[in-house]
Amino acid sequence: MRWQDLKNNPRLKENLIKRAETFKKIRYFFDTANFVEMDTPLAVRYGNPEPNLDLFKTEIQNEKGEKFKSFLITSPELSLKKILAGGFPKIYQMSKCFRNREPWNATHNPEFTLLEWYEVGITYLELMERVEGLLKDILGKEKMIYQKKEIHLSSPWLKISMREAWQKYALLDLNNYLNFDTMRSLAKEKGYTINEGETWSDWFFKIFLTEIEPQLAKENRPVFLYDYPKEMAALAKVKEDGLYAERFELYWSGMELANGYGELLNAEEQEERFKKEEAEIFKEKGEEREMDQDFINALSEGIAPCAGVALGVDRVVMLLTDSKDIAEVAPFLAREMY
Amino acid sequence: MASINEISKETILRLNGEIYLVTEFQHVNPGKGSAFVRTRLRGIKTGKTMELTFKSNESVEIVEVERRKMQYLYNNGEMYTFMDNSTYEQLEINVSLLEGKKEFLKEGLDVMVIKFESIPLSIQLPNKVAYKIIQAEPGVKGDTASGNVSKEATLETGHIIRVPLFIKEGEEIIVNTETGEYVERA
Repeated sequence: MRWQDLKNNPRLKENLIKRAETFKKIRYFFDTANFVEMDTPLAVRYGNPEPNLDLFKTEIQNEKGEKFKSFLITSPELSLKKILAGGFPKIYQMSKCFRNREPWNATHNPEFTLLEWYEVGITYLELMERVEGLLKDILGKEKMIYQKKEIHLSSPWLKISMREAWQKYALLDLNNYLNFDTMRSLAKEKGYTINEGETWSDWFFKIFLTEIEPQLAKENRPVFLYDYPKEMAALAKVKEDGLYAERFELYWSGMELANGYGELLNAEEQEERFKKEEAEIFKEKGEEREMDQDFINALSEGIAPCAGVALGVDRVVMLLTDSKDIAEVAPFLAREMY
Repeated sequence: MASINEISKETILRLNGEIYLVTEFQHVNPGKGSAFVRTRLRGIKTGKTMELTFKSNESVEIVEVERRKMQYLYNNGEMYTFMDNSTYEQLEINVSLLEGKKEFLKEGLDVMVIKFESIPLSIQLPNKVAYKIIQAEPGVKGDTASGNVSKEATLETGHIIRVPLFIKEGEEIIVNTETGEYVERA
């Protein structure tokens, strides 16, 4: 039991205090920048249709015993965007999120703490600067050691587009491999396995995870990877070139720390993407999903151009305390409780 | 056929007609992506290492190999000699196949030798092994900067690992041979 660990392991105790301080610093950062903190529901009527995430499903009953499906959020994104539509320009939420069937390992737990924020009137590129500012503020050092590796925080962080990353590490122009056939032949030529039913994204990731992502982990500074192919747009806006989406991820020593978007605000396009994802979920898992029509209506009503990002707070505390395993910064993990 | 999810270190795969030994693997879930398994494979015939990523639901052909318990005897630098205690048959394994493992080989240690078509490919160490500490500074002050109160100590194999301050020269400790980390006093 971990409460005994707390008594015997001074480091765990220290880390939990640092965790609490981090929460305070985050709130101070946003409160002084005139953001309003939200605490939208953790149990909602409709789950986000994300084909690669599994939901915690439950059931809610009213006093008459009428039953409704209910889901724990994988992120507060849909609720927060409804608040944006309601006229709040700068909002944030720091709360638990739930992703079922995630690995129970050193960097994952099915219940984790996510910080998500939105700001009207800035671009996703400007948002990367804000993320950098927040983390420099929390970590408060020019350089730090994480797992024996020195990370420089003071110099500008590396910002590299997905196309540049492919050029730099795999010596390929990704623009030439944006369609099904060319990516398939590329993966095959490189010796990757090609199986029936696989998609463009599968081959993209086989190459990316082998040849590019490990190189990012070798950088001695945090890395923003931006402009993902539009197949991986999720809820991000597609750029004018029609090929890439306004999405970025922050990598830190090989860990994914944050995922941000120039937000897709076009209701019809959003509805279309949701339908496509719901079809994919049905095909993969046999699950029928209902769409959150209220969210589509909020988009139709109009939200001013904005950018938003989600940041894994447990992982930030891991960096801050030089912890290799989430167990060093969070005392109750699924892998111990079940 | 088996799922790539079932592989572990030392699994032998047949891919496009070639035989490979899995030397490293890692489950990766890229943000918003599906699950993948990143591997490092060593070609049995070529000896060449390559990296390859699979989708986590992919089927692969796992090849049955021979696993035999053998005892480590000695090495002459390049070649490490093992013996089957029931038949007294001896086998030499080249140091290049013992990366990350030779540091934990002590005389008399029982290991599993993995062979395919009678060619040795690799060995499997017991997960936890006791070693004598042959050299360690007295535990006065250690590296407390990172909050880890530990110091360096040399195992009887000559390998150096980090141990808690209270461990003294001459003591026996248990080491996890997979992570290379100190576990407890023996």
